[in-house]
Amino acid sequence: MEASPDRDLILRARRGEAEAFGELVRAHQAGVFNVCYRMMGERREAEDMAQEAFIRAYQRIGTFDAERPFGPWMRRVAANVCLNHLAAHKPEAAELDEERDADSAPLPESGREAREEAEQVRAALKGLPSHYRAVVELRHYQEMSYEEIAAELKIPLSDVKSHLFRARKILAETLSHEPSH
Amino acid sequence: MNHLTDEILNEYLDNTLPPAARAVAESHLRACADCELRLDELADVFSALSALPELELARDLSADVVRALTPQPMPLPRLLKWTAALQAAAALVALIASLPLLQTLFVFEIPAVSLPTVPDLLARLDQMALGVQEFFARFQFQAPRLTLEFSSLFITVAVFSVTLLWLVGNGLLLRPSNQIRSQGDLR
Repeated sequence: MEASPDRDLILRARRGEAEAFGELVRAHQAGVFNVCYRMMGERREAEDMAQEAFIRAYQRIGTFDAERPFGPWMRRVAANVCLNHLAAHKPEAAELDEERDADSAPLPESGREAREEAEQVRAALKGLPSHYRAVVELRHYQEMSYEEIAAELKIPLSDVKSHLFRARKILAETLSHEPSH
Repeated sequence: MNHLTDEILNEYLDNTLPPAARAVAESHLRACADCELRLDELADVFSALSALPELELARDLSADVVRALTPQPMPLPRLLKWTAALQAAAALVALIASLPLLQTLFVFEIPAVSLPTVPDLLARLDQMALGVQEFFARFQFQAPRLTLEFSSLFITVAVFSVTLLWLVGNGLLLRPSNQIRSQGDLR
């Protein structure tokens, strides 16, 4: 089996080298941030959650098998951190992240359309209840099986399926009601 | 004709149906336009989710994470800073006061060392006090005189008290400082 490219950094981080862990952060922060963004729906909050996820991962890195790929594990930790946060802080009114639009550069027509579509999907995701959002994240973006999701979220398999299927139904309805361009 | 359930359509797209059930579903989908339409709508959701582009991160998180992971000395409360200063002063006084006791204890081991005795020190202090008194006498007021008597018990108590203070003080100063800061401290 091919060794994980992050293996040396993981081993150094385990010995307490925060700088080595910093390199892991640089390599994986974009992916982790996107997990948090899909879960939280706000840039600032997603950045905070991503930081918190990396700190949590550092605390648990002793239990991680350095031969396995770091990215998927790290994204799973991030999803968990977001879930715990969402469980502890009941959802506020769903608002689109204004900062996201504010820093958007002008794009050609096709690019603008694609961006608007992406915004609609993000808004639809954000409109889902957090436990639905979690199963969508784990199934569609972390490509986990139903059984893995059940184990990760500590819920029955039947709940995984019902959450996922209802979430998709809501997404389908929300996206089909979006105004056409 | 019974239509396919939402569960079957979802599991069909998730590729989790057993082969036999999948074959039945495919056969039904070929014959049923309604179910095919429902499948297409669901497939659109899959496509929309997988086509969602990754957002760029606006800032590098690594510096903040590394800083949070590096043990930071906790700032001392003001009261503890005063405690440290008091400790130093008390230790100095105790050292001076315990010299005669140390001399008594180690008189055979360190005979070459000759240290001023308490009476000598008091005499010198007395002389200095007299000098000061004479100086201030010119100004027509009386300087206070300190008459101190050190017993072995007093010195022992003083050394013990300072040692205790030192231990307590260092216990506070050396308390764990490498606690990793939580999210609230990061910004």
